[in-house]
Amino acid sequence: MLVHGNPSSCAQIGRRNALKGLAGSTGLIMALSVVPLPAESAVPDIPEWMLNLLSDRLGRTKFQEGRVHLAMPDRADTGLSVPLVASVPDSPMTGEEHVKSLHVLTTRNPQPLVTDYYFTPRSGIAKVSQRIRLAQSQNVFGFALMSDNSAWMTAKHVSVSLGACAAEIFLPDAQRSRRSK
Amino acid sequence: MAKMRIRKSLPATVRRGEVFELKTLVTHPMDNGFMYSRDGELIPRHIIHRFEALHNGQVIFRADWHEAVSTNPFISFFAALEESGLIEFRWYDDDGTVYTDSAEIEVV
Repeated sequence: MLVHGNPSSCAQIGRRNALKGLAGSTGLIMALSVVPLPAESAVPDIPEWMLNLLSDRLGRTKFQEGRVHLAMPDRADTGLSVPLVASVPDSPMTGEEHVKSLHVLTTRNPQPLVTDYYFTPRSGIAKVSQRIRLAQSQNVFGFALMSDNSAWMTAKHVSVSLGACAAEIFLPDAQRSRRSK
Repeated sequence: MAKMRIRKSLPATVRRGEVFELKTLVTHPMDNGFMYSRDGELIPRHIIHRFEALHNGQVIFRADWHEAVSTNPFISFFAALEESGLIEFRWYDDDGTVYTDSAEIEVV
């Protein structure tokens, strides 16, 4: 094919052939671009230590993906106060079927627990809004336990420009005292 | 510690079974125990670790807060009520103090 021709043979390639080759390679690129991406789970894997934590606190480690919504910005200028809206909007919140609890955890905060919410049928809708601290860019996980004993989860990645603990926490003592002088 | 200031926002009248929003904000440093002062001293943990909303003495919503809740914790949540009564908010401080605030709500 044309592309593999050595430079000296270029003169022999007619305009018609060159166009054919171009059309062929364009077709190849287009064919490649429509190949579907491999099916990928939207939710990252739960780290091993978080599974242990969940097993201790909630008594289970198996969660289905979905139903839980975490509305957070993709990027946050400061990790000191990042808006969080956690919800399970499709639950009817009746005595028979309601969200029992909703738990928010982070992967890279010094303390992974953020909040635990406990609802009742009189909560109307399982939706809570707060401001939370993020020490650095990381995944935020939301886990919901339902009254029918099913468990759901979701995750959201948030990029943080300036972490909640900023420099103060990570500096060794000597440097820290030098800074304060 | 500094004087607590509590702000709340909720309707005075709601329809029976209607889902409505309640918002509260309380002034609190929420010291997470990881930060150092300017003098290089570790600031000990001092946070509000629990928030409760009660309707006529029964809990309708509860939140357990950990170190990652921001300073001056704001929370917005929802409720749906069947009868008029007293809505009460409680914040449980690490030092044992319980801050409370309440509001009458009429269900029509």
